[in-house]
This record gives sequence, structure tokens and C-alpha cells, in this order.
Amino acid sequence: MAAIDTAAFIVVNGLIFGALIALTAVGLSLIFGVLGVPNFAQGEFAAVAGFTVVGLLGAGVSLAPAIVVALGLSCVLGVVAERLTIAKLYGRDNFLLLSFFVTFGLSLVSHNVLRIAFGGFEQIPGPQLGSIALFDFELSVLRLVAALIAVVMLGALHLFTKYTYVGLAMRAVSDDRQGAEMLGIDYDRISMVTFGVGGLLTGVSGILYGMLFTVYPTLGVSLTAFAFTIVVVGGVGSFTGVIAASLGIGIVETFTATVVGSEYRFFAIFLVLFLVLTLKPGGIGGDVDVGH
Amino acid sequence: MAPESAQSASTVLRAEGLDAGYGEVGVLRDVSFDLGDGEILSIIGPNGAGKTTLMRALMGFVTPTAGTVTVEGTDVTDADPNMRVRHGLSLVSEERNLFREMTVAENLKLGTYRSRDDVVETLDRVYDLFPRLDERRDQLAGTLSGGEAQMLALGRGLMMKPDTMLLDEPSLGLAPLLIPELFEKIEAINEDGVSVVLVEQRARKALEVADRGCLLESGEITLRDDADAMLDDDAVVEQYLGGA
Repeated sequence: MAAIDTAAFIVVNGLIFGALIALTAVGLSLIFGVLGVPNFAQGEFAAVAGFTVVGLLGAGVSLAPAIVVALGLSCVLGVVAERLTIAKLYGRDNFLLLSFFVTFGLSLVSHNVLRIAFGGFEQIPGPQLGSIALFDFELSVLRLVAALIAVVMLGALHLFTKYTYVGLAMRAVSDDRQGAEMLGIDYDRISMVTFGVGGLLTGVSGILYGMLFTVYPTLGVSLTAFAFTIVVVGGVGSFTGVIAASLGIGIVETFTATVVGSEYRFFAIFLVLFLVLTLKPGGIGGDVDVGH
Repeated sequence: MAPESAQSASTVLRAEGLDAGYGEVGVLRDVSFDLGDGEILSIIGPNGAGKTTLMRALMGFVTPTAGTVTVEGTDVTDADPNMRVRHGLSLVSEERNLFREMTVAENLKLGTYRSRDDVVETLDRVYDLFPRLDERRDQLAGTLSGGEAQMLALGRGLMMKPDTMLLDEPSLGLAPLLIPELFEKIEAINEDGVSVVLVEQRARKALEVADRGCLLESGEITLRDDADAMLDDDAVVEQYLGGA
């Protein structure tokens, strides 16, 4: 492969990978931005959704209904996790630390349950859409469609937070909780919706990931690590910063895996994190105010 | 002290024997008052008298340890702020609590979160009253000047189409030049049929626009009268209105 072809391969695949993990990162950023919960279990929504599709396909259900059920489940699990654990912590001292421990615990439970139930690596057989020639390599249309779905989901989220009452109320709670309550915005309800939306977005990410790559029991942990890095690099609370960081990290990841060797992927990503934190502590889209 | 029963037929907001505070510290003691329909009641008093605590207790952000709050005949003492909004109360707080990262138009729209009928007409009314907000509608609330921010806080409160507005120190932090305009706006809001509880350190101004006044000192109401009478009361004039 000529250098230009390699570069094109890295950029295209990097952007696709970036768009996928952006769904997890935006879910994490949303939950942290609105509720102040550093959700260490964010990636679990992806793993659970992915394995739910695998399980249903194994039981003879066809792909489309399996996806619908899996996405419904990731949304409901978001709400249930919020009601059963996080909701008990609102108003407590050390909320940040407690919610971190709780979600860390949820992540342990989740990936161990997945390991017991499903074992190892599984791929979700996506629809056969063929491939197109791009420069010197074949690009599967499924990959393009996956990236397109991610972009549509992110666009929909943007419109949701800009034009609907519930979306505006989520931003209002994130901006000034007491101001929101003065207007009659029900904090508990917004909190549930935020977790539901966060779970849904990340669930989509998991299913697409399973079609393009594989799902495995600790997928959630890897995606969470990616997502935290992206949110810090992109700037906490910055939607555009998080998307830009996802795409950038996607390219860095693909470059390292293609040119250097896939065992250096995390090294490269944390190197980016280190550089950004050194040069621009608030992240690329962040405010000067690092203390949230 | 028992609330005047003559007012009770048209009372929109009533506090009876309110005690409230934070933790061990009591701030309010046995505070009672009635707000009649269409009235402006000004509560004046020195800094630290408990005026903001009273407003927070009326809105449900502070739970009173004794006493009751009644809105249009419904006891809301145990209701959260959310519920009180539904009963027609709207608080414009001392800190304003604007959504600084959202535009002026988005802040106003959120005022209609609980009552979403006639949003466009209500918005037009608010823009009529505060033309500056119309000019700044796409600007982030965090970039507004002090006067504009206060107008936005009042406008957002009005978007809720409240029966009663609780205004906590609306003149705080405003340039002196803007203060007459602010009180004109408050009178205009009242003439539109909104009853108002106005808490102010600028006592003379507050009493000039009010129907009745209360003097709150060290958490207790020590004097209540018609606003005109209070403006003529030598003791009040000397202590709180900067002499005759």
C-alpha cells in the first residue's frame, strides 16, 4: 500500500471508530454534565446491548427485533441503575466519590455477569451490504452505515437538547439546579431521563461496535476508559469538544494499531491525554474553569 | 399574631406562625402575613433580618420547623418547589439563578416548562415589557449586564404566568440609574394582575410601590401597616428610610 493509501485508510477507519466511541463518550459527558455522576459503568450499556443482540440471535430472533430489544434494555437499565443506586446518593456529602464507587461496582457486576453468561468474544453478524473501493482498499458499506447512524444519533441528541422542553431542562439542571427547580422542573425526572438517554446512546455504540469488531465481557471497561479520556481531552461539558476529541482519538487509535502495533493503542491514547492535560488543562473545547 | 380575617376572602398567599432556619440556627420566628389578591406587599428590614430565608421558605427551599404556608386556600407547607409552581407561585431569587450557558430565549422558554399554553403570546408580552431582552434573545444569559440579567430573571418568572411573584431584592447589584425603571416594571407586572411579595433593602422605593408593608427585624415582624402610613411613620423613617 502506498503511503497515501495507508493515510486514507487510517483517516477513514479512524473517523468511523471515533464516531462509534463518540456515542459512549457523549453518553458519559451528558450524565456527568447534568448530574455530576462520573459514571464508571457507562461502557457497560454498550457491552450489555451487544451481548443482548448476540444472545437473542442465538435464540433464533432475527436481527432487527433483537436490536430493538437490546436498545430498549440499555435505556431501561440506565433508568433502573439511576433509581436503585444513584438516586439514593443525591444530597449526600462526597456525592462524586460515592457515585464513582457505586458505578465502579455496577461495572464489576456487569462484566462478570456477561463473562458467566456469554464467555468470550462474539461478533454480531450485521447485514451484508457489500463494499466499495476507496483508494487502494475495500471499505465495507456496513462501516459507513454504522458511522452514519452514529452521526444521526448525535445530531438527534443536539436537536433534542436545543428544541425540546425535556432537553432544555437537562441543560438547565446542568447549568443551575436551583434555578431549574424554581421553574418547576422535577430533578428526579430529569435525572432518570438523562440516564435513559445516556444508556440508549451507548447501547447503540455497543451494537455497532459488535458488528464492526467484536463484543467481549470487558468491552464496557475498555469503552469507559476511552470515553473518560475523550471527555477529559474534549473538555468536560463541551459537546463539540467531545465529538472532536472522539474523532481525533479514533484516528490516533487506528494510526497506532496500523503503523506501530495494536498493543501500543492505549499507550498512544494516554499520551494524547497527557499532552492535552499539560498544554490545555481544560481540554480542547473546555473553559478555563477546570474545577467544574 | 393572627392574620387579619378581613382579607381572607381574597387572600392569595398566607404565612402563619412560620419558624424556619438552617440546622440549629433559627432565623425566622412566628412570621405571619397575608397577601391579598392584586396587592404588593413589601417586606423591608435590615440585612440579616431573615428576608431571604422567608422567601426560600415560601417557595419550599427551606422547610419551616413550625407554621404553615397556604396558597389560594391550599396548604403547601410540605410541598416541594415544583408543587408550589403549579399553585401559581414564582420566585425571582436574589442570585437570579439564570441559566448562564443558555440563550435569553431559552431561559424564557424554560419559564413555560409547567404551563405550555400560549407560549408565543406570553413571550410577546414579556418582550413588550422588556424590549432589551428582545434585542438580546440569542445572547447567552451569562454575558448580560446586571440590569439585563435582572430583567431576564423577572421575564422568566413572568413566563410562568404566576398568580403571585416573590421578588427577593430585585434592586441588588443594579446601577442606581436603573432602579426607578425596575420599580416601574414591578408596578407594571402588578397592574397586569400579578400579586407581589417584594423583599427589599431599598425600603423607601419598596414602600412607594406597595399597598402594605411589613418590617422584619431579627426574624420577627415588628411592624405592619399600610405602605403610606409606614412612609409617614417617624420611627420607620428614621431607622430604615435614611431620616426625613
